[in-house]
Amino acid sequence: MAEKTTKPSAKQQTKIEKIEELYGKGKATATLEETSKFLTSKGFGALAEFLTPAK
Amino acid sequence: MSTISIGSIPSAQALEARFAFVKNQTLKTNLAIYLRYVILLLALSEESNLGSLHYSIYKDIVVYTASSIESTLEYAVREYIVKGKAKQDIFGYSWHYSELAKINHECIDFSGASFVVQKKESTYKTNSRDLGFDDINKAAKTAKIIDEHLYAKAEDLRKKRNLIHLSSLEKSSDDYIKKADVTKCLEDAKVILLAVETKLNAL
Repeated sequence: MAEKTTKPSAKQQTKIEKIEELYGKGKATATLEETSKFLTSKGFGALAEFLTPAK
Repeated sequence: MSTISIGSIPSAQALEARFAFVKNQTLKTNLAIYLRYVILLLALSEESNLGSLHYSIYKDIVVYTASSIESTLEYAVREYIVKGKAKQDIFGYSWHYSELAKINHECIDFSGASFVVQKKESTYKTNSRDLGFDDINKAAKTAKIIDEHLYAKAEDLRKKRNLIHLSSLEKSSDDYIKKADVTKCLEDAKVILLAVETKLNAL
């Protein structure tokens, strides 16, 4: 008797996954902390404060 | 564009996590995608030798930032309605028309014209086709999601965004945005988003 295999349940692809599949992942993969440091250094501190609010 | 700037842009997944206070997955994803693009534009705007291209980059930052605020505020008001903290007519009313009958008359005076009987009724605004950014700002203030101070900032964002009309055939808008305008726009967006986050987390 053939061994039964369990097919993994299909996970619904997210929009971001679909975009990455279509266009590639690219190199824009910084953490929010890295992005915040960069934004602050360029004078866009307000956005940095939203991305990484003080705890 | 240098690889240093690209390496400073976050992943969309990381930005999605920052919008955890938005429970609607579609909006959360779109906000992450929008904000990621804004960050790219900010990084791009700091590149040298762009000259007059800054005009278009700064305008795009304003358009995308203001649109993010508009959709976040609309979502927040809708959440308030769902939770019973705001009335369903909080966005205001609009007229709706539906055609009941049409009469064509063959006489030369009315050639090509139709006489139409319409039903005109006032219904509260519910969908994006009816809703304007101004309706959303007013509703958010009425629901006390934003106070008078933040309402003024939201209105400022709306007016800045509305300055930008590609299709204008008459005169050029006074939309010469500078870096200081962009930083003000981001500052206003930040305080509004933080206020909305606090309100939604308290629901």
